[in-house]
Amino acid sequence: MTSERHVLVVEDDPDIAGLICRRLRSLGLSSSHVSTGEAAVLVVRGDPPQLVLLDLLLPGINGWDVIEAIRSDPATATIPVIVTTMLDRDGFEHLDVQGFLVKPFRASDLERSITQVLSLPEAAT
Amino acid sequence: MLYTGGTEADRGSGVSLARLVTRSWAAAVCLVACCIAINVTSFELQRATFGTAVDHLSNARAALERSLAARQAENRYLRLASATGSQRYVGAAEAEAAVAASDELDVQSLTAGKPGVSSSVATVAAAAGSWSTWAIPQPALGTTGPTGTPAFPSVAASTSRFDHYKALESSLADMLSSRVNGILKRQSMLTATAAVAEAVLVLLFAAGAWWQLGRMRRAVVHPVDQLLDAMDDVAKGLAPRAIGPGSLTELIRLRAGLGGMAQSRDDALSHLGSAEQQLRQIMETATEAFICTDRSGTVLRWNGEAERLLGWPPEQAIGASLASLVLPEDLRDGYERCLRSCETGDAREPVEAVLRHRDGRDVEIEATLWVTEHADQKLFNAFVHDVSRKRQAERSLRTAYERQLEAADRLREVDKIRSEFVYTVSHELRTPLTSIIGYIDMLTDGSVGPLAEDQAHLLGVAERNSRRLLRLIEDLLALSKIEQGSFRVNTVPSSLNRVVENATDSIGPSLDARRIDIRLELDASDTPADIDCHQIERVLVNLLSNSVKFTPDGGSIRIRTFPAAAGMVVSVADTGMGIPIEEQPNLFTPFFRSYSARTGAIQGTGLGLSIVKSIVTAHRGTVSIDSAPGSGTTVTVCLPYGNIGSATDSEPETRLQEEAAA
Repeated sequence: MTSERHVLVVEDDPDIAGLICRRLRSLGLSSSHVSTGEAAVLVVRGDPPQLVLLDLLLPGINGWDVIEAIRSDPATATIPVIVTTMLDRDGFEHLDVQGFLVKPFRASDLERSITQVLSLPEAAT
Repeated sequence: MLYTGGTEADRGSGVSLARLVTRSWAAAVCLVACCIAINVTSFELQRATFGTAVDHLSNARAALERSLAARQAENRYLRLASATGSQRYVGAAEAEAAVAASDELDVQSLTAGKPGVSSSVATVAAAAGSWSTWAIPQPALGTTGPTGTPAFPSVAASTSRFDHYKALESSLADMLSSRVNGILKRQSMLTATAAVAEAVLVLLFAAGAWWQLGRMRRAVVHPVDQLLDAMDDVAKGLAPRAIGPGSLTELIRLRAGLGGMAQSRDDALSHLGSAEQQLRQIMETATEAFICTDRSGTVLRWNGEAERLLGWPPEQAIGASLASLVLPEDLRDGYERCLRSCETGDAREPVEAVLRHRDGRDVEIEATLWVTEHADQKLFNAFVHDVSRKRQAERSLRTAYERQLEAADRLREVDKIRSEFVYTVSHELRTPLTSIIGYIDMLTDGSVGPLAEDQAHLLGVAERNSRRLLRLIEDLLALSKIEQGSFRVNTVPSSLNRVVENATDSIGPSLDARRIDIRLELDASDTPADIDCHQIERVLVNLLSNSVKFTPDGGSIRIRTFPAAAGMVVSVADTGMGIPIEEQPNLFTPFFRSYSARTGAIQGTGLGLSIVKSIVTAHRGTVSIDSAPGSGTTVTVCLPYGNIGSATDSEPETRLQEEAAA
């Protein structure tokens, strides 16, 4: 794991994924992108990131299953997850995630969420 | 018909039964008393007469016997004196006794009352006196003889005289005996006479009783018979026959009562007759068929409407079996069950059936049944009316209704598909829009380098329209969720002021080319309201967007927040063209657009206010519009304070679901 804070972007739309990655880079964060749930679970287990930006509607296993997989593995259970989705938040209040961004979101909303989530561990340490 | 129990004169001439009995008893008692009195008197008279006669005769016989004894003693003494010539055998005392006996005999003979006896006694007394007159001096004469010898001629004379006397006396005794026999005979005659008198009295009594019986018969039995006949008449329904005058008052009163009964009966019959006639008229003019049968199903009544309904005329139907007339084979058991339930009183509701018309076609009917009793016979009555057309109409209606239901189901299905389609499309539209807006943002915020002014302007137009497209999609999504009943709000106590500021920021880009003054007058206390910030921001964006669209350049929009009794209030007041009063009730209807909006080519979908209304209602808030053409519009939204607990969350949702379903 690198000392740079790394974010995994799970997004099946490459344009949106590119947009998010550009925004992350402008925030000084490194990022990697996968477009399926299965790939996301593999990457999280193989090289746990500091943050996962996760779309819910994915081909293959969906975002809920990915969250379940992350939370069920003790090695990855504490990795913060921010959901980025076109779905309204209605019905997803119970999801064990640290942020919820409804597309299309503003750059400022993304920045605020990421700053809040990533600053929590720092504040704790 | 008028019946009376007799006139007053009749009543006056009548005899009371009680009085008649009393009189009969009095007459009988009088007769018996008379008989007893006559018998007693007759008996006493006979006894007294007979006793007196017997006493007299006994005394006479005793006096005669004493007289005879005295004469026999005198004769014996005289015979001794004559034989001995001594006077000592004849004393003055004996002579006196003989004289006294003769006197008593005289008295007795006098009181015996019978002339023959009296003369006989007188003769005997005279003979005794004659004998005494002769006999008393005989002793003195005897002393005058020369030698003192008895004077035999004197004795002979004496004997002769005495015998004459005895003969007379014997004759008297015979007469007395004859007299006693006569008295006895007379007594027996008297007894016979009394018996005859008694017989006559008994006959008289019997005759009186017979007469009284006859009178009783005339006064009681005959009128009672007449009364019974009159009662028979009444029982047969005839007029009671008259009862003869002079009858007993009780019978006259009974007859009067009977007459009254007959009158009442006739009145009742007359009433029944008119009721029957009225019933017939009602039956004939009734618009429903009326059928009456007995328990066996024989038709007793059948009106004209029944003929029109079932084809059989009354003259053929009455007396016939209902089953053979109009009941199909398969319905007869049901009819029997119906009659039974009718008898037990279970049948309350009208029954429906299919009857057979005379021409063979089926007639759908509805019958109201009830049971009456007449002369110990149960009658089954029914009002029957034709429901063929009604049933046909009901079937048509039901078919139409089912078609409508199917159509509604199809529509609902189509609507669901539409909502799902809108939802899906809206989501799918968001994906490219996210990229568009995101990349435009990236260009405009200088992340990829500075832009020329013209480029920045062009990108601004692109962003503004992207945002507009986004709001449209948001509105469609919201409407879709409202219609599906899945719209809900997640409220937390929040600052309404901040939501207002965010909404104002959001609307900012659309104001770039406009000269509209936006003023915020926010409540200093900033009392938290229980709101879903995202949804309330959407409410305010919709309201502000409307105000911007309808307010001409140079106008103003004033946004105020302030606390009120029911909750926190936010009002958006513009100086726009205003809304005609007749359009205001429709403002919250989805897709409604005002006339000025349509003619003024002002862009919009007509969804904004309906979504505002739904969101505010889900918050248990209120929204109102105050507007007049030319003087602007003020929309006021009131949102409650405090917490909307999770338990009560479902209520606004339910209401929204109901609204959506409606």
